[in-house]
Amino acid sequence: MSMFFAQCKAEFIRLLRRKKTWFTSLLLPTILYFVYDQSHGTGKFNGADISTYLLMAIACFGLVMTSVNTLSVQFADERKQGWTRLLKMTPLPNSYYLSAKIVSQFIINLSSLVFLFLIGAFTQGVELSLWQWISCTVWILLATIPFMTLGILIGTIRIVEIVQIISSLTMMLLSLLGGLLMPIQTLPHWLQKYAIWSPTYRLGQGAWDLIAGHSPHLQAVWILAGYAIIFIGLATFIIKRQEAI
Amino acid sequence: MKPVIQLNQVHKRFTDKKVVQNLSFEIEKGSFVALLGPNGAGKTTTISMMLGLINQTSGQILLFGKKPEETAVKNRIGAMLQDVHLIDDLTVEELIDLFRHYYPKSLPLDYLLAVSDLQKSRKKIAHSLSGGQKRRLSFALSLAGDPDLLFLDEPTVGMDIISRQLFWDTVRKLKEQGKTIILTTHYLEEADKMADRIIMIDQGKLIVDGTPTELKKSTLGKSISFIVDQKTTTQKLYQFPGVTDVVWEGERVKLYSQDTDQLIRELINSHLKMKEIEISNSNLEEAFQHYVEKAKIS
Repeated sequence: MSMFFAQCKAEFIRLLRRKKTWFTSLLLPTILYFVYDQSHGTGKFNGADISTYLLMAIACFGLVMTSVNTLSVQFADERKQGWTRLLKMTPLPNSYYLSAKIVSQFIINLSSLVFLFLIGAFTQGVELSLWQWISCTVWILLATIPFMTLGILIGTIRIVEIVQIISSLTMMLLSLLGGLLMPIQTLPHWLQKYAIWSPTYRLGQGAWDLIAGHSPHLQAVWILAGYAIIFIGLATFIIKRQEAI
Repeated sequence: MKPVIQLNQVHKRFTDKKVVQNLSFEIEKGSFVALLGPNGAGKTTTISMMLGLINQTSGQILLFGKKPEETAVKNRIGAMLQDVHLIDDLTVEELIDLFRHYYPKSLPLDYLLAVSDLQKSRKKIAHSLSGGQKRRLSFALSLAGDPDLLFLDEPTVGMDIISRQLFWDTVRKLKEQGKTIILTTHYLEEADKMADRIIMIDQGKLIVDGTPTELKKSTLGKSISFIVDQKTTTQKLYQFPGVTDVVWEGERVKLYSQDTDQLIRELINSHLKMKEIEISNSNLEEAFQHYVEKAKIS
């Protein structure tokens, strides 16, 4: 257990020392939220206050962007540099290596959420019950897991530059498709039919359900869990094949 | 007692290229073995298979009587590999400490910093170290778990003379503690000085296996070389007792003999006009070339 704890600690310190972490998980979502909130004014949307709706959308967007980006680039880079080869001859299990990355990203994500929610509550006048704040935090954190596994999957491509481009592009498209940057209703009708199956939409939907006062659809849970299993399964398959030389 | 390493008819093929062919040897506890061979001979592949980083195509590899990928084996080995870039954003001591947590028994942080001479750089980010310092950090990491079996793959590349000295002093102490050490190096004099057994491979095959002394004996032996006037004939030089071979290199001549001490006395007594005399013991370099050539012919 102390081995796993040490690995998590090391990965967490590394994340804290990277300027990119601070930029993508604190600065970027905050700026985005201010800009969006200013331009949308006040009113109601989907049964909730617009500021609250946007806060959840931007929170989800920020978390999936940093999770996918950080994990994919780190994983690809460390494999390319021979670091994972060195770890392979130590007693550290491979699963510890990856799960320590996920745990540290989790802590960063939690801090990022809390920070953004405080900004929403104290500067933009977002009002939610304590239960809603907590349930939204827990939902968004857990529903980001499929995106972490997607990051690892993209990271199996070993060329860091390509990984960077693919992960940014994938996440921008998925965020647009899932209604995190603009409501899904603004998409063409034929596209909306597919959009509701995207993991980004299901992530956002759960949070929007919570602020509107009901619990997330069970279907969303299944879809997100399905994505997580598919991504990690594919990643494991690819890694096994790459290493079977 | 069981050998620490056992290789039994190991083959490794990459697509259609045979990199290692029918390699078999055993290594006893406490031995210091140098694995030598020209570039592309299959040394790194052999080490990678022993470390469980890649799988052999056929044959068996056992470390401490178990398969290399077992945790019980990994707990007892350490390795300094080539071309490993250390991860960014961790300091020297954080990285060493992380590795210490991987093993059931580990060596103290201060000891590891001392043997790698990194006490002064302990708070530095590992990524920013110089090439030689990074090699030393790799050494510290390889020792973190107090291994019984240590692999050193080209360990001194990039180290300066002082670092090398400290490095070999430490390795010598480890050997005295009864650790088994496997070394690959391009510096043959290091292998000659440190190893008590040399395994040479070429084109994936074992070409010779023996102590450095045995290997050197099989070559032409010790020699004396000097510059002499051209009137001296080869025939005349052969008349000195014990001379086995005479080789001219321009106006410099090299006499081979098993007993160079006796030969030098005779040469001086004969009043031959010699200039710039050099006496050399046969070295591993020659033995190495000798065996590689021999393997090519057969």
